[in-house]
Amino acid sequence: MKYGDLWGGIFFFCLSVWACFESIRFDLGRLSAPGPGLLPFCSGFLLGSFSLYLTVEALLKRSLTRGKDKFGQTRWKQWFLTVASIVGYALLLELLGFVLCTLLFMVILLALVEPQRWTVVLLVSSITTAIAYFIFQFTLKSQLPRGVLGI
Amino acid sequence: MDYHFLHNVLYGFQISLLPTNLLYCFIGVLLGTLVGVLPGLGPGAAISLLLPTTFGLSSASAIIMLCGIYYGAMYGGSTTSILVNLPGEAASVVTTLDGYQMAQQGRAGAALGISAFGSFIGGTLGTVVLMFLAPPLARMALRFGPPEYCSLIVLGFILLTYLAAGSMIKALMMALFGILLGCVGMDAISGASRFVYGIQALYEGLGLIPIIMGLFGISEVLLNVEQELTERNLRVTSYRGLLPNWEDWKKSLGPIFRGSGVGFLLGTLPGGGAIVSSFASYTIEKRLSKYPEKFGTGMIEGVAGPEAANNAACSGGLVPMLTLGIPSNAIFAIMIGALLMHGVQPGPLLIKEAPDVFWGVIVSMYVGNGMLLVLNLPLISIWVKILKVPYAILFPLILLFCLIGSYTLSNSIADIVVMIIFGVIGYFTKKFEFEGAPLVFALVLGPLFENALRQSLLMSNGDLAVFVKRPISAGLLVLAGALLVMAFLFKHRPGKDLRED
Repeated sequence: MKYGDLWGGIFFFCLSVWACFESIRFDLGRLSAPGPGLLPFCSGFLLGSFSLYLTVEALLKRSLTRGKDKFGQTRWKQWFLTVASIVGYALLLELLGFVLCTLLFMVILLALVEPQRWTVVLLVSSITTAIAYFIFQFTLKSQLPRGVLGI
Repeated sequence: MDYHFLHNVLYGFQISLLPTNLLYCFIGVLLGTLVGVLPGLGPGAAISLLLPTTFGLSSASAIIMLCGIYYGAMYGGSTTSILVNLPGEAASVVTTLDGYQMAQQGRAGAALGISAFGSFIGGTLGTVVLMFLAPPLARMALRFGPPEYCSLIVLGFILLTYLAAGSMIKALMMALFGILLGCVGMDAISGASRFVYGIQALYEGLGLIPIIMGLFGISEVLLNVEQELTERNLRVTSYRGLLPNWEDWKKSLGPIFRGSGVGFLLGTLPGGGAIVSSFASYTIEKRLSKYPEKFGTGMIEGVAGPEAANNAACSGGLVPMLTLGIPSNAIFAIMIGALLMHGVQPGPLLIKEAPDVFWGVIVSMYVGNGMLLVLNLPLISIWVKILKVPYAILFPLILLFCLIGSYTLSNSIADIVVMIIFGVIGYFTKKFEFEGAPLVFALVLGPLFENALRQSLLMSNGDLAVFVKRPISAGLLVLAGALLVMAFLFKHRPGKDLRED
């Protein structure tokens, strides 16, 4: 658990240092005329102080458990595949269009992350795509990207 | 009871009984129950996902539906807790302790029945108190100036972190991170841009909804896919007869009424909400019981109290949202976002400026709770079947809904990118036991706090004493200070204790 405190503390400390430097650039103003940098600076300063405390406390605890405890059971292949699929969806949505992109997204997740039978993959992917398209395009009148297929 | 009050309540019925509002209330409670039943999809994520679908609705219909999802989820969560020992959402965790044991002893029907009736009574009693309490509170809040708001928000932050389940420092850090995120974009007072680096999408600030979808939806899926999904095969306990007998009722009435009171009270506090309420009610019942050692072995009091409490907390949470414009937890923060999207400013003026939203939403909760009672008991067999849908098929659907939901907010890929980034951040913060709720709370209140702080300093010409010279503001700050002192003096905090108990 302390392993998480250490890395969390370091992450938030770096973030707070950056926020403080940036806030000074925005202009802190005076107490009688506070500038746009005042709140981010104060928040950054407090965040930095707390994260420093957390980091030092974690370092001082001798029983620093390894990260393995938190991530020992993690199936990284499935995790990265899932993240890559949603990133890919974001990158390709406007290029491929809603229908094609959604179909591909569903097929990849159903076939690769937790492999299902191909009939299930194709059936679930196509039904989901059709229903989502119908709901968002026709019922909710959302403007979904048409992409290469033009639909 | 004055004439105006009765008139307003009747007006509320008029709004909530409109066929369209009845329909959206029904859709809300139905979807809420479904979300409550399905583990891995909480009410927060569900409300964010369905927010884009409310764009075409009136503000009253939209909030009626979103509230329905919240208290519907409280009903649904108990079903899975009792039948499969798997809480559909966090507020039903405590129901597994005695509910599942009752099911194991062949009393699943009584447990399901008392949890539905308890939820109904808790939800309805909470709504009655809300109806009486909200208008005078809103009138009082009209006297609040920027210093009072500032102090109130400080108290909110301290309460939220004080009631947090984990480390108070980590909760404070997440709240400060939320304030920093709230600073991204154009400064409302000076017009200066902050943390935007020329990225067009950041000028209007980070969207609340993509962040919430990432923190609560995507991160939850990432936490689930990293485990063996086949492990989630469920064994459902059979059940028969859903009506509790006279003995069950005698044992449950006290816990239901106590749970309703505790739930409502804790629901109004920032950081309180349904989860803490259900744990608080369980702890109280255990301490009051003549047989505390039997709790956890199938005591009906352990089901009735917490179920009433989590539903009453939903009504309680509406008090600060409708009267002060301040959310008591992440779900009400999303609802404030929804109100703002519909052009309605939550706060003390809401009762005058949008009475249809104010009274319509409150009264719709009677209607919704009634619908849930009628709906839920006969539909239990269907919920159990839905529960058997493998997670391997469910998670792509959840991800797809998050992706479409965040894209359709403003037809922008930038919102999807924000959602993915916060999905990954949410995954790691959950792994490292940093809570997401303070971040969301601060993200909503950060800009309000900044405006109130800067206006207070401007009007007092930089005199910080303005916060202690005004009695209401001073009182709120004293309360916040007392909480901080208590947190440092006593190692044990209620949020932490309740969950450990």
